[in-house]
Amino acid sequence: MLNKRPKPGDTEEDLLKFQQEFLSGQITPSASLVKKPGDKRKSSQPGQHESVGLTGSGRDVVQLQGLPSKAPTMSPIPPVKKSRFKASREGKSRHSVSTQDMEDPEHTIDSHDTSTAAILSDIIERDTRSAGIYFPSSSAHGFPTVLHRGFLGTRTSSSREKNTKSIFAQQMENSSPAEFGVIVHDGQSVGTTIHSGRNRAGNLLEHKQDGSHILQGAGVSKKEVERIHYENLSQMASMSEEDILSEQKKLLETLDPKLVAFLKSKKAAKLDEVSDEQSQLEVEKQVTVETSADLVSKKEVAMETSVDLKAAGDTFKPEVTNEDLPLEVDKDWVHMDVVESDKLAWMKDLPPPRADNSQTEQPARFDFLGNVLPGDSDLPVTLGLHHHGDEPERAGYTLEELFQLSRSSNVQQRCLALQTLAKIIIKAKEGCFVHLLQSAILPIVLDAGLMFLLRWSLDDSVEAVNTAALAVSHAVLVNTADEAALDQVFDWPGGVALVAQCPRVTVQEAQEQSGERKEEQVEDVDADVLKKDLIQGLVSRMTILPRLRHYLTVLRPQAPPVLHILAILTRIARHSQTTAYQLMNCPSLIETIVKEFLPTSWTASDVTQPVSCLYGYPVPAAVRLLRTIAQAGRNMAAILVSRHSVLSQLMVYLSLNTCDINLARGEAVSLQMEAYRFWRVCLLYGIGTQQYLDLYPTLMERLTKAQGQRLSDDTLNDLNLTTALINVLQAVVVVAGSEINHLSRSSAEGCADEDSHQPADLLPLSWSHVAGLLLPVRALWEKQKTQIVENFQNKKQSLTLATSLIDFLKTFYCLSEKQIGADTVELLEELEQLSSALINMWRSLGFQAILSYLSHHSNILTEHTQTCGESSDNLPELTSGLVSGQGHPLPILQPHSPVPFITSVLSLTHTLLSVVIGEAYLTSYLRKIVSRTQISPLNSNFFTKFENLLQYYIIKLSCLMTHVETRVHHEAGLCLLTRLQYGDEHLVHDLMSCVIYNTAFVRESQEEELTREGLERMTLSSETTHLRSATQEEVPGYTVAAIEGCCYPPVQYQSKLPYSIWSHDPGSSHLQVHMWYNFDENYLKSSGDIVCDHSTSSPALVHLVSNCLAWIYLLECWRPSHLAQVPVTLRVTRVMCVFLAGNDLFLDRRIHGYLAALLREYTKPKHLDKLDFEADIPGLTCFYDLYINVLQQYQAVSFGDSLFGCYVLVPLQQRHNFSLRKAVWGEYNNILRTLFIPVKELLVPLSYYLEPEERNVELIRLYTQCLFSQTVRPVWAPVMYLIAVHHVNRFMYTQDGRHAALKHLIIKQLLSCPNEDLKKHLLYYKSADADAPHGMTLYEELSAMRQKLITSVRDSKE
Amino acid sequence: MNAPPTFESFLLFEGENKITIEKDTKVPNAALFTVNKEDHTLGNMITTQLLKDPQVVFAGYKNPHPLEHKFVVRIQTTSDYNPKDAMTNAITDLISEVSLLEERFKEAVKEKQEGE
Repeated sequence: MLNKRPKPGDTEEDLLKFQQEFLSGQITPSASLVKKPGDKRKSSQPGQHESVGLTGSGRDVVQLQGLPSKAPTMSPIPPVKKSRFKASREGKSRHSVSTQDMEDPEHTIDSHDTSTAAILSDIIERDTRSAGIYFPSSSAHGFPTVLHRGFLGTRTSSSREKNTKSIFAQQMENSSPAEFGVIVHDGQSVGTTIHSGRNRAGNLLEHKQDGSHILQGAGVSKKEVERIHYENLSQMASMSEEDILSEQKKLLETLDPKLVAFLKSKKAAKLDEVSDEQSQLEVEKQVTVETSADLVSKKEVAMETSVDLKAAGDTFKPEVTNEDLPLEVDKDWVHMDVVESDKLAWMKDLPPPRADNSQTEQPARFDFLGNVLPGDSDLPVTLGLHHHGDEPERAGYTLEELFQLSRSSNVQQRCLALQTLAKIIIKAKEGCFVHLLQSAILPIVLDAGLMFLLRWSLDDSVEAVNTAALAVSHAVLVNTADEAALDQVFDWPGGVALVAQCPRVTVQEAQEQSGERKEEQVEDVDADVLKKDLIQGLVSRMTILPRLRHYLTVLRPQAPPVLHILAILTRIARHSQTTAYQLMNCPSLIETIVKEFLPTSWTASDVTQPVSCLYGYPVPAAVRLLRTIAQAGRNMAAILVSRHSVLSQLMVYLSLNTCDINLARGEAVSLQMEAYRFWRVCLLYGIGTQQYLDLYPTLMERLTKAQGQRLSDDTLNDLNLTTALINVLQAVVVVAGSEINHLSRSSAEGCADEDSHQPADLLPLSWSHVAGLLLPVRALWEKQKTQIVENFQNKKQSLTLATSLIDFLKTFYCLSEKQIGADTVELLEELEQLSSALINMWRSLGFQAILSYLSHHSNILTEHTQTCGESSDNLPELTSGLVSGQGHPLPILQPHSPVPFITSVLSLTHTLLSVVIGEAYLTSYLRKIVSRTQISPLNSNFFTKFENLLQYYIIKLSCLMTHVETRVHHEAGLCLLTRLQYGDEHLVHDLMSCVIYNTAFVRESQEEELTREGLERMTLSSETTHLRSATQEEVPGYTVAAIEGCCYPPVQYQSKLPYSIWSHDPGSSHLQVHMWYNFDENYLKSSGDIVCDHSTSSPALVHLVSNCLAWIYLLECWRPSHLAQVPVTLRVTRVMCVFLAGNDLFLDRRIHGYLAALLREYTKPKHLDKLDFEADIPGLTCFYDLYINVLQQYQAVSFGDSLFGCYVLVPLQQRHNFSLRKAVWGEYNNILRTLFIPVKELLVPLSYYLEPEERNVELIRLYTQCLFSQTVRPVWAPVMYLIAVHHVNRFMYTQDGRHAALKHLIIKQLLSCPNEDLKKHLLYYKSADADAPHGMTLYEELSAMRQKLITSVRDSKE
Repeated sequence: MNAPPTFESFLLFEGENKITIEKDTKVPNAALFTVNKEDHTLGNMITTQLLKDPQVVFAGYKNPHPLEHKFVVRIQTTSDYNPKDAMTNAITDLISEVSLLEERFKEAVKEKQEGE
């Protein structure tokens, strides 16, 4: 029966009626409410419930006092683990039950889904009324203490009877709550259940073999099992019988006896059955004492080593198959029925490194020694080089990873990372990675913030980290090769002068600041300062000086860090005078160093052993640091001597013989060396003369002793010491000589105040004090000379001593002339002797051998074209040692370098006599210098300075007499001029006034070169006399007088100009070759502004410009090889500037002539091909701007000058950028009215303008426009007309199918063009020909194709 | 503050000539005309007009400095003509052209007004 149901139209009454009916009719509802069964657990499987109880009671319950009474649990009953073995037995018995379950589906669902049922069942809010509120219990320790299972035995002895508990439970029982950091509250019993994690399913099969059993765990690969087995065996073998028995007993006690019994029976039955992990132990204990814990730890080791693989899975997604896995998956394992291979991938062995990677780019990885590991190097994982995530199969660490490690919380990792970084940086600086890596390491690490990292590590509280950080700082800042080279150079002539090793930026800034007195400058952030200038940043921003002092005074580290600190300080002192001064003024830093490392007395130690602690011993490195500071300025040297009384300390060391100093011999020698050097620096400042008088007897004794010694390479130490001594004496002589001058001057002025500023106790050194030195030194020199003369060709020996001896002699004779009481006759005799001896020496085979080495040791002639060592811009280095990457020093620094020796000899000869010009070896050396086309990268190297000095003396000597080789010398002078470095300005001035503009040099070449040239020009001009254009204008004929005229004036202003040029870039330590051009342009531009005001140029300017141009032209045709180093583009643009310099400057006849000559020079094909206006031109932002200026100038003031026009035309060649052409044909097409250059007079070959054909549609449009609008006409601009006709014609007839509409349009316009000439030219143009009218040949008749094209267009018009 | 008075750009100073002529010594048949208190407006017009003259070899003008209110015209002519004449002719032509323009403009305006 169907119930009536309410409908939408029903009223309320209807509804009430329905209800009444329904209620009265007792109709059963379609849906009924039923109460849900209660707790499913209670009613469901009794078997399971039982088992829960059973296992639950079997579990060990751990109770800890003091914990809250009830831990909130998520599920009422914790998930229970049963013994699998037991479960399987139960499963059999339960089989029948499950059939019953099938009949009640709800029941079944509930039984399977207990958790949902539990949640869906009553949710009762916890009654918190009676619950106590506890304060959070404070704990003594943050974490529970770690318990070691191995200690079990000692603890369990008391509770033997309960020993069936698990090991963990026993341990918990034995440990007090306090051990876990729990504070026990009274009256609160706390219980918590901790389940021992015996869930490891070991499916173990046993093999019987000589009483021992190999257990095959299904989680472990076969190999691993075997390994464990052998380890077990070996451990067994190492144990005594009692040990084994006691361990066995211990195991038995902990295990369930039932289990033991079961396992025993099982073993007896030889059943291969599933067993528990406990059973494994059970079986094992017969022979093995390997505990499962050990097994677990083994596995974990394996895990660690293969952790990387997991990450690798992300990167290259290997198809992980079951075979790859180190374990076989058993089907009985829980939740392993579906093997999730990718989750197990981490267990796999590492794949072999891929060899193909070694070809492609990949981040470099380094081992702990700082070597780059090649991509395919296969190293064992046990080296510890694989602990990183990226590229797990590759050994080693990237820089990034090392940076990360160095911030690790683990001290050892930090140390290791820093040490590795230090080694890498050292190797990088040595240039070991040049061929291995793409980019330099040093700039990268510095950019990455290495310095901040170092500061952080320097502040670390762990000393080992500090030491490592110091090592890294040392590696970054100090270039050991540089330091060694500077030490070597110190004894060379001119080697005492130190160059500030600070970046260019700093110098410029310093200049700016001195100029404008720090006008509210925006403070740079630390990072910016560091980026600009590393050392300045370290000193001013990172306060490294107090930090280092803290180490020295408070931490007092071992020897290596101390040496590192001293070396770093030395480098800081080298940076600049400012930093050296800051170093000086750092409170108590110098005091500490002097006190600790320059003691007056120290205990004798075992000299054969290396010293581990340097405190209380004299340290040569400390003296070296002080010497470097002293080198930075006289004031600082004076402070060191007066305030810290360094010199008196050093005298203690110097007064002793090396063998009497209680130090190792090498240390003692270097200590004395450094002491001598420090003294020499002081003496050159005029300080420390008193000590000379005090020490005079000792010094004389040393000198006489040196005569008796056999000084050769075998006794290098003695040799070096004697060299240092002689250098000190030379400095003394200098002081004594100048002191006299000073005294005589002051006495002449009759002023006693002069002396008052000198310390009263300082006895002025007089010449008589040093006169006695001459004899022993000369004797020593004679001996050295004989050795060189007789032996040098056979046996090379060190020339350092000879060098300093000659220097001494030179200084001595130079000054002795000026002394008041000098016996001139005797002096002359001596000089004569010396010079004859010198000439004898010069002719000897030995000296010839020395001369012949000169080319070989030249920095400039070196074959190595690149320096390999890395350096960073903000940390300038002298890049001394490393030319070839194999650690060969620079040629000039190689052993037996003759450079200093010859320099000294030359300077001696220069002071005595000029003898030796025309010497074959010297000339060939210069010849090589001059003929070298390739610019050596070492030209700007600091150490080339010494070679420059040598060349300077050669050239200067050659000035003294006329000879045949003046050309070579002059060219060498030009070369040298471009190479001279900052600080050698006086040489430049001297060279300019004596050599470069010396007519003696110029005249020579004039006669042969210029007469020839003059002849050439004569023929040229005679050919072209019928042409009126200025391009063919005769270049002013050269006469000797003319050259002199143009060469002398430059001398006057050149002498002041070069300095102004220098002031533009003093930071660049050498002059640029294009100095001439710079000066030319600078001068013209600045004067050009003035000139603009006047309608005519001042005669002075005309004179100046014409002289400059004359000089340039001379160089251009006379020393072309020399100018080859300057790009042609640069030269052309600079000459173009002349047009901008004045409104009628170029109209001056002389200037016009030179400009024409230069144009002819530059339009030679070899130059034209090299022109590239896209390239970077120094001094110009871009060529386009300059060109626009030139065009405007041409429009405004040129008077249609055809020379100017020719210059304008140069950049219009097809190979240059089309934007230049566009400027002429578009915006500045007024030019076309006045650009009258006949086709025949074009200097650039016509084809350069016509080929390749123009493809740029925009330009074609412009050409067409200009042609049709008559802007370009053959009468006004023949060349331009030809160019336009050529390109438009070619474009019109090109059959490439593109721009058809435009072509059509052009032809259409052309046909309607009223100008018949243009029509004819455009239609019938054949090719360019300078001789034909309008410069073009025309077709008599159009080809059929073209005719057809024309007609088709014409037809389409109609 | 220190800006020059605005009238400086169009009012001649005391005793200043509107135009001065100077012969160029280096180029034949050439002269420099300096026109004061004028700028590119006139300079460009005159130069363009000059360049239309077939007997003018070269004509160009230059404003020596943007703050100097003058320009310099350089003219070179063929030998049977002289720069001064060229300049005069150019100016006359320009004036007639401009008055023609003015006349036509007025006519056009008148036509337009009558048309309404």
